[in-house]
Amino acid sequence: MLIDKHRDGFDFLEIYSRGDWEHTDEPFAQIPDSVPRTYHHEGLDPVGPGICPDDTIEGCAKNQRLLNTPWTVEELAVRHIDGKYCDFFFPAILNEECVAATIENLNTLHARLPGPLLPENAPYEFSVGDMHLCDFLTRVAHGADCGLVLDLGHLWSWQLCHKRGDTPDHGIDKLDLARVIEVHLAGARIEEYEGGKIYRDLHGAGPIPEASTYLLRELLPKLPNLKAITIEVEDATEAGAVEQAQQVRAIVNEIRPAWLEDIHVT
Amino acid sequence: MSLEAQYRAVYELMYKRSTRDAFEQGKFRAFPDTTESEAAEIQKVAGLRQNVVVQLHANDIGTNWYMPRFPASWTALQVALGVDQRELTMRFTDTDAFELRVNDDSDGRALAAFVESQKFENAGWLPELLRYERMIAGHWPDEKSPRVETFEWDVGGVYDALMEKQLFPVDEKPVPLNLLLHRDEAGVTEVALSKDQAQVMKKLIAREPLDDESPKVIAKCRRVLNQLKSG
Repeated sequence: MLIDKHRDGFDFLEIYSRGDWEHTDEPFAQIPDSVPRTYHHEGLDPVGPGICPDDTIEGCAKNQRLLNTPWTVEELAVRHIDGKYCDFFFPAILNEECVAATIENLNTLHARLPGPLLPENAPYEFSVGDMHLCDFLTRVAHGADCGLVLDLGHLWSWQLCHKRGDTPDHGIDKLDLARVIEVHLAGARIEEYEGGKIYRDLHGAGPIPEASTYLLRELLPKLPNLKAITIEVEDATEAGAVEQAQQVRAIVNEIRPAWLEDIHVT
Repeated sequence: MSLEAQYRAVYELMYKRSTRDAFEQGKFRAFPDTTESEAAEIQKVAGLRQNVVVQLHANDIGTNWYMPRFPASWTALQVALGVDQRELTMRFTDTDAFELRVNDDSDGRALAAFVESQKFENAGWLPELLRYERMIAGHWPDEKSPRVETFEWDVGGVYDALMEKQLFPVDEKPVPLNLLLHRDEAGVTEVALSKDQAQVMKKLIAREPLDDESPKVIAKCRRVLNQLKSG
């Protein structure tokens, strides 16, 4: 529907398969070649204690080939623990052991996948480990020599775990901003309880939090290698998706208009 | 190995109420295979925030996994146990049955094991109701289609009471229900059969001799089978 009715409203699509590769041939083939695209995979579990199963890697590679995207996005989280599927992304444990395992996993994945894989900071509802998230991201990006996807809502979600909701950019100086290739924004719902707030991803079925648009305004001028700004809207109404795209485009137009003039995803 | 143990410990805190309760009572001893500093870091997670997160996800599991797939059984479980969805999920995830799931338990095998492990004095039909819902959702024990299934209870009536009338069946007695089930790309089709029809239909499907059966029933079964196969 977005392709048919609102082609002027977006520059590219980020395709999300929920980690499926067995049923993607037909839906992927329906996306016209003329639409630039990136790909968001799920299930490679790059922050896990070991590399994920072969079929998962091969499935991701298959989808990459089908879509022929310049890069693929994968959350820095695990969907499986001890082989058991979880109902949400368990985000990276923020410590040295996890940094080392993540770098090793990403290096293996980079060697086996046909296209680049960009890890994304996952949503945090609770956080384990004493490392700052921005430190973790920088260490991983340098160790695996890769770019990053910075999800602004997810960054705020981690700050909320540490009662720093009022300073969504706390510690941003620890993040190598030159590694950020893509930025994500999404609708969210904030659950309040007597001890604080919890960020819940809604992906279009709710408004983009002010903290996310604040971060976008703050960071836009500081991201020299930014190639994509993605608004995750898979659960949005048609009108909601269009509205959020316009909202974000207006901010970029105000803060960094020259960036909009170039084509970044081809 | 240690990172694996850390994730396993967080998993325990998220899904295993017995672990969380032990924490809250100060009676938790140790997570296996974690160092003291790792365990200390993980223990920081336990507390009010984590309890809130657990309850949010318990609701998610019910709303996103089970209610859309097995709505009658999921609803009946809450009534039979006298709990809400969140409490039901937390009881369920605490059991070994939950660990039987494949992916998001899309075929309901873990839920079935949980149901089998419970004693329902007021809802003896629940295991059969779930078996029925799993079958009409296409989760069959093998590929044989069409097939005759006999349920020990009138699960069709129980399903209708729960889903259409929002009534929890009371004082039900076991009344067998025979169904002819056919599965194709469009989904599962069900046809109710009498006891005699079920017997003949089984023989027809298995291509067994029908010499002792009533010609009238045979004709009827052939007609139903042909209609079913021709869509």
